Amino acid sequence: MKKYTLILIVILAFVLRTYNLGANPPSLYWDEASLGYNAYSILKTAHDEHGKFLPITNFGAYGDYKPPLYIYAAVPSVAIFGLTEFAIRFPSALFGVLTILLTYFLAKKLFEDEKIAYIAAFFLAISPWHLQFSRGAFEANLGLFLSVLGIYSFVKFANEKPKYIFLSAASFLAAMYTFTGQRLFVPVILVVLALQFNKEVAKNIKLIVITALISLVFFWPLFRFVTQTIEGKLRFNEVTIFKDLQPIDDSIRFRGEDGFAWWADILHNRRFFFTNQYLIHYFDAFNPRFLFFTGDVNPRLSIQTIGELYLFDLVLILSGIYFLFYKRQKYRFLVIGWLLVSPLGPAVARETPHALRMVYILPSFQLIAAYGVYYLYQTIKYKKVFIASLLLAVSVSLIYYLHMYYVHYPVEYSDQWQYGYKQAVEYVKPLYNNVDHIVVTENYGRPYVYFLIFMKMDPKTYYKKASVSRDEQFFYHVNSFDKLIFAGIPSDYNLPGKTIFITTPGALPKKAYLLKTINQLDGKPVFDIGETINEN
Amino acid sequence: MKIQKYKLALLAIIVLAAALRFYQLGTNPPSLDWDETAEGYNAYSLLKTGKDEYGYKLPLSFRSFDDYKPPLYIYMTVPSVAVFGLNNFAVRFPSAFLGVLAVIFCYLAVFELFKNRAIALLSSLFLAISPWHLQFSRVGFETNSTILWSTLGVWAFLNGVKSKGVKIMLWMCLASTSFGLNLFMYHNSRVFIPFFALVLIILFKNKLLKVKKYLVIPIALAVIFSIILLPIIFSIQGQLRYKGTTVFSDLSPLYKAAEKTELDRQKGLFLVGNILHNRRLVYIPIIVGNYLSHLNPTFLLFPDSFDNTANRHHVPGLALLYWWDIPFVLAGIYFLIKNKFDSKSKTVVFAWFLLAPVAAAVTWGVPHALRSEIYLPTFQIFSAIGVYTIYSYRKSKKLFIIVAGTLLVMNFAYYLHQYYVHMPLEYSKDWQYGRREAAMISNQLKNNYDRVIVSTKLEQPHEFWLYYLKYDPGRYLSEGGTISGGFLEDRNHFDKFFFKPIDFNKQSGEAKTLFIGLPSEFPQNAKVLEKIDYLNGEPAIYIVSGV
Repeated sequence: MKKYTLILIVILAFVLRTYNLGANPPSLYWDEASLGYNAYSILKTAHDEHGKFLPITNFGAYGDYKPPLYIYAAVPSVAIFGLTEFAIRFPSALFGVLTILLTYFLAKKLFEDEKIAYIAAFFLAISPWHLQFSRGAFEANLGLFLSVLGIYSFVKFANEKPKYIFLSAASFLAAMYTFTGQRLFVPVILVVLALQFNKEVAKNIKLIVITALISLVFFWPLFRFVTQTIEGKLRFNEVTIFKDLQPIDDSIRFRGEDGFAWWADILHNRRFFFTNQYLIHYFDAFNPRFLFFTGDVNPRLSIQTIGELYLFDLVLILSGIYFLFYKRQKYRFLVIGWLLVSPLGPAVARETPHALRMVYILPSFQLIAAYGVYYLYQTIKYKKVFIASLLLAVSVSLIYYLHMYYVHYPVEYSDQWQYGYKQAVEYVKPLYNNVDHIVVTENYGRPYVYFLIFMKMDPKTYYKKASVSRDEQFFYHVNSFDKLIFAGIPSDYNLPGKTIFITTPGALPKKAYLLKTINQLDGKPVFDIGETINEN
Repeated sequence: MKIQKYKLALLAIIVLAAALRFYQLGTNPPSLDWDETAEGYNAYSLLKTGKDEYGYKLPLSFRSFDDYKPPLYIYMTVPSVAVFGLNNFAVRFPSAFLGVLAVIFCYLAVFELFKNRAIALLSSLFLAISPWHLQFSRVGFETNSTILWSTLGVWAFLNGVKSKGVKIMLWMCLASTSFGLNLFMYHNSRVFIPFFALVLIILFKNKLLKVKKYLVIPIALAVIFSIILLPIIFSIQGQLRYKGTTVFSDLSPLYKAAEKTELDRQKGLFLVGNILHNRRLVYIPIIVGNYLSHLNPTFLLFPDSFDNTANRHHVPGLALLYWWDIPFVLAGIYFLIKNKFDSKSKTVVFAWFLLAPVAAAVTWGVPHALRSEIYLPTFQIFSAIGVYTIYSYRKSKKLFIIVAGTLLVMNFAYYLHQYYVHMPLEYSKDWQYGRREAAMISNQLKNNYDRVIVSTKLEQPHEFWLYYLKYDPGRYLSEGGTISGGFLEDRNHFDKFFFKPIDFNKQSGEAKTLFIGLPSEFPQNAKVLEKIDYLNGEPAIYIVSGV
């Protein structure tokens, strides 16, 4: 019986993560497309799309310098399933399922109770937060698996299995090579772990020093890239609040109001204004609206109609925290510390709360909620009523979520997933050999990658022949490749021979005749495809 | 005779509370906002004529800016205006005074709940220095007195429950009266008080059922209050106010739900769609979300996350609680659940805490510090329990007092600095500064002109002019009084003053006119007689000659 419980949870997790994976989310988002094509490029040529041999610290991609590990993880998947949406997303789904398995083992280790472990794993299996990122090619989701593995093996290490420290170190390192956010999370969670297990750490200090030294060697290339190169620093500087000028202006104004007295320099020091901003962003992570009602404001990161957690979690989490203290649970520092340090990193950025950058907070909520359920059940008098209402709440929430996710979400937000590119490419694919030029609008951003993917363009030819430039922000810009021309205003082009135009609705050149209009899933037009024929 | 220590402490707290509430009351916040001037002038009008600015005799709901203000605060302002004259201090006095009383009754109510002097003293101390309570104790907002009525009501009720004989009746009458008066304070209490009273009654039903005969009069009192109140709530005016602020007046969630059901119907999921997107359910998540938004840490702790419309609700850089409160509030909640306090007292405090934002949850524009002020003093009680319990657990008690005390003093000093130095400068615009100066100058200049046009962009200017010029209410009513306080109103006038939108070129041609309006309302070449600035130096109001 017990064995089957875990198997059932894993099957449920797997089904929820892979069912209709290629078609919902309705299309490949830029980053997914880029990850996919780079994996394909590695598979075919051992070089990335820019022709760089097996990159270690970063993939240039769009100029966003993606961490490498997801791309490598997608290589076998693309080899097996081909260059499809499913193949690109599969690693995320798979490691999502494995995270659930890991959560079970971690909960069992921490709470020493099988039932709590099942519940925690089940909660993660149905979590909207985790499902959203397991069903798209999100590096962060692979990173989550790795950091949970790091935490789990650290706990194992502390429980008389010293050699697990190597696995822990390797996992944390890999996490940092997978997702940028992990680079701020790993150090702080290590502090939490070290404090929780200070005795065990002290006992094995030699082993730890050795591991740390070895890790440092592997960490060094990444560290150099992030801190020593412009490319590595650029993206951080773009998003961080610490480059804002407002706190400095405020500081000057307030000091002025105090007549620039010496104590005003201390009291209204700009660092306090920055601290204030930072704390606002930190506490944003616990905004109830974000957690329980609308989720992340970005429709790619949440379906907008349900929170990152279910509403019933609110009760369970609060009671979980209460019981962790009340029962003096011995790992409460770790579990609650995990919850509290996770937003420290994302809070340096302007956009908060950010479900993706903070995803490694999972499954701490689920662990706490599971602990809460278990002891609520023990404490409450009317056990049957409790179970019945809990089951009702869980099933209603889950049905509502699934309904919104599968029926309404793709229709309402297909534009957010760059819907239409694939349909446009597939439309022109059969015509490709018979035309001289294809001019594509850049209005929706980065069209080239969709041609590469859906026409399975040969990577080697691509990185050798394509005309690519780099702007002052270090972003790559693909101007043209083969018959393809990417243009801000396609109708400016008047080319000899047969030219196909793919433009925003109504933006075809005057003399072109309309071949097809591509609509989003909500029926709004997204592309007009037309053709002009000029005699030479 | 030896005075006990706690009495001295309580006295000190009361003196502190009073000092914090009365010092510079008339000058900081830097000016009266529109609601305060309305309260002031209506009180003045009642005092002189027995009627409000519209000519309604002793109304139970003041039409004012067509927002139908609850009446009690204005009636309390009448004696204050009678004693102190029509000035800022007089308008704010009732609020500050009741704020001090709230601190006292907070002590009494908490002591009655927990029978612990330290917790009671700490609670009242924290209320005395609470930025939330101070903010609203220093302006004539009627909501603020709600804290007094709820603490007083709880104290009286608990005393009633433990008394014997006729005393029960007296205490319960007091409880009934303070809860009943609360109903006339602010729309929120009309939701909060019935639920909260119900909790109290259920909690002590065994005891209450035994002393039925003493409860007849208190119940009758409660019934009388309800009878007076019901017609106000269900009158058209009351409904207007309700419709203006509730989430139900926004129909877009209904349209969205209808769109979703339509899609479901197309996909053959009619039944599922009809259940999940049922129009009766669509507002529930919105309301629950609004409810929880009041517990958003950024709302309670950091004012930057407010929009500017809420600048009157806090000082720059600090919101409703001190940062210092964070650990103690959380610990207080924990210990209040866990430790052995009287279970009924626990229920009272948590019911108070959980019911407080219910009314605000059905309004838009939340979280809202004023609409949820009824929370007080629960946060302070939590904090007090947190401090007290941690103190009693610590071995090094002196160290704890020194560290926690120093940090609290630092927080408090920072708050005072922000309140007295920076708030007037930063937020004078939000406090509608400059109307007083403009009114006075225009009154001097009016003799040279046929008429004075005051722009309605100055937000209900007639009220400010009436108030600052202390215009005789009898004369005002004989000239027609206020015609409408609606936001599109352009017909209000008295003496030579007309309150309407400025159309400079047209109106200056009609008659010899003096204009008062925002700088943006005048052409470049207009002849500006006076410029009035906000306290931070930004231009606020221009006085312009039309000839």
